[in-house]
Amino acid sequence: MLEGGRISNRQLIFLMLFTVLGTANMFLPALAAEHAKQDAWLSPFFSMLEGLWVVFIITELGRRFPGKTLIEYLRLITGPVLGTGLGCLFIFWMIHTNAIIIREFAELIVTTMMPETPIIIFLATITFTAALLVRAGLEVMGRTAEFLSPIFLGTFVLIPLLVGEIMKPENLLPILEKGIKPVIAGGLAPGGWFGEVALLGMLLPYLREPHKGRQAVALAVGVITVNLSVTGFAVTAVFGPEPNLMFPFLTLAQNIRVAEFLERIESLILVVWVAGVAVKIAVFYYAAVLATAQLTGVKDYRCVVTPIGVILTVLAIIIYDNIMELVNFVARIWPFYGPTFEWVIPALLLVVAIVTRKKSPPPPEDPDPERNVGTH
Amino acid sequence: MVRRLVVINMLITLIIMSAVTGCWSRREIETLAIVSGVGVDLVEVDGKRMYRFTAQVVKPGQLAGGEAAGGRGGGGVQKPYLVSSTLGKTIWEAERNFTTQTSRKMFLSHTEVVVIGEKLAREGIQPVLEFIQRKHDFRETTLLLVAMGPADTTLMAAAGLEKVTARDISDMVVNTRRASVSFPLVTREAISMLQSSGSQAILPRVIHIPYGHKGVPTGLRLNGAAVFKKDKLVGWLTPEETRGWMWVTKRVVSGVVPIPVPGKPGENRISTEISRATASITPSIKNGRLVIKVKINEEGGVGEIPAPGLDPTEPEVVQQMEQFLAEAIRREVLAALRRAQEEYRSDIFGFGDTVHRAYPKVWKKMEKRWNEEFFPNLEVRVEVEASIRRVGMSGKALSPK
Repeated sequence: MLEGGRISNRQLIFLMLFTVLGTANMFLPALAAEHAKQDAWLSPFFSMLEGLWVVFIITELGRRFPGKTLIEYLRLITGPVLGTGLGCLFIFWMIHTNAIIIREFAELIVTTMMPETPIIIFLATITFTAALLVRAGLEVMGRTAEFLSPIFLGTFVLIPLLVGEIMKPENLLPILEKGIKPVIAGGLAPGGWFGEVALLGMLLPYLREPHKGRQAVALAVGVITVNLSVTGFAVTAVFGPEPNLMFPFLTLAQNIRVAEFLERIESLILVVWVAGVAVKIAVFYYAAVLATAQLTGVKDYRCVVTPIGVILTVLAIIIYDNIMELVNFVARIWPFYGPTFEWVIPALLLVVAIVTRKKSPPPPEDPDPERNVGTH
Repeated sequence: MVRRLVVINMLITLIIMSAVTGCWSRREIETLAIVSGVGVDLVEVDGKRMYRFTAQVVKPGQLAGGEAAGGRGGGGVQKPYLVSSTLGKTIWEAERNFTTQTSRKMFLSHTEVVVIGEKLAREGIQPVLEFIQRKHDFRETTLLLVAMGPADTTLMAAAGLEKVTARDISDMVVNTRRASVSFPLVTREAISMLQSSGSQAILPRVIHIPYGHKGVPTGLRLNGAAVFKKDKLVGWLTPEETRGWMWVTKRVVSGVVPIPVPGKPGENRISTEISRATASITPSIKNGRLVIKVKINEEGGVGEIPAPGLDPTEPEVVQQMEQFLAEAIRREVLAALRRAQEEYRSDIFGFGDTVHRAYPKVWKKMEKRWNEEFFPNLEVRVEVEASIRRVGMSGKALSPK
């Protein structure tokens, strides 16, 4: 096995939290509000359905092929040729998505804080940080996520509380003015974000208790939903139904003014957020690295960390000319592009596996095979 | 051995960290011009329309030593700030042209107030709000005001109790809550007023009185408010009308309301102090007619009674005072309503928003013609309930014998 480490279910929850929330809380409120207006806080609940669906598909595949990652059972299901092709596509998706995430992160920093610094500095430093995490292995990533998440979640709970004073809850009325359709439309783009929990397919075999992976990630999806809903609520209550902002959450933090002294804390928020994004990028990075290593059959995945890092940094630069293209892609194309890999292909795989009755025996190194198969 | 390696590694990391951080885009405080107040005007230069950007820049060195230097009574004591104006075809260009006349880069993150000149306000404030919202270093907690006349003279006015004029204005706006005849309004609120079709923008007005006349002292005054329609200034509210608007929009914090003396109408007035005020706006549709009900609850206390011998503790007197008080508040509200409905046709009260919330379908039909057709003819029922809770430190009014 390429990865010798094991992570606990709690660490998995936190890793998945960062995988979605890392960028979601900065970019999503604006996307949801674009369609759903004052009902933006309801949209995450529709995205949640997509997230849970992905969790169901991936864990179902995981149960049929215990101890195997997505890339491994891909070849078992579709044969060596098609399997390798699909595997390449998945690796492309992981790297491409990660490049988008890295670029999103850097654009935010350049727009809001350091307009004079060349963007490559941020692209390269965050990729380097993530590379260090990936090299350190899954266990270290799990512990990092475990350590950072109280600070991260705490901050994102604290901000809506601190702006309580300037909230106008009546901004949320009337509820469902134009029916349910805009709310669902507002949940569509975030749905792709929620679907990023599909990376679970690469992590499931390295859980200490793989059969409990489904509950853990479903819980993570729930926490993410609540978090995004609260953020959406706060943004609408403060800025009204048309916030018209690039990064509503950050502007929200700028508006904090408690008792004349607690203000100008948005830099602090960014510090916490950067740490969260680093974990998110590392999870995607790790998935791509592990997938590449498994597909090519190298003995140690660490040797592909640097090449993929270079690809990520370069791709993040050339992928978009400007932030408008980025926002456009995320709002219009991502809702279809993301789910293709997150659940459309995995669902097809599952159907094929069921029809052809393909299964794999429990991994030999596990002392208690019955436990891993779970209940069917 | 391993432990030593760890220590060495950490030391190297620390050295690298301290060496490589913070050098890019660094801004040393002595290279920055920290702006505390901004004024934006529209002016005509050689027949061309230009924006004039006025910045009040703090001089930190003088700010600290200002008092000591002033105490020695030296004639050459400099003001702790610099006011400088630049021109440009756009606001941002004007702001950048600042570099042609000062040695430091403008730092806008600490801007406390933005004053908009009257001419610009009449042409539309969209460019100013857009500039503040899009530019990364401005904050949406910056206070907005409209100057009667140009904005630059406002910032050039001598500071009062504070050391810098902009600070003076921003503290004044907050302080005036004690009188509730003017109000603080941050950029965020102005933007949401502007974006909503069910409410129009209103900003506090600041007047600079350079020379004393008719017994009015010189200096800066907060006086009433500027009423907008879309983003264009259409007229002013007097301080009384401003408070009338504030009653409805729940902005009244404190203040003094004079009422007539019970039993002696038209004579000297009793002062009552507002200690608490709330309001509710409820739209309703009866027989196809839209009616807005405004209910105001106020609690106050008596502050001065210039009617010798009047006993404010007598139930009848109390009852009458409460009635007068409710009447006085109602008058203020009606004055504001009349101005907004008949003269300006601008829904500064946000009645449209309440209709939108309560009757989304009706609102859809009204939205387009709200300010022109529906709001001016809207029936608004104002109910005021005023209670007097306290009479102060004395009993019967002082009576000279």
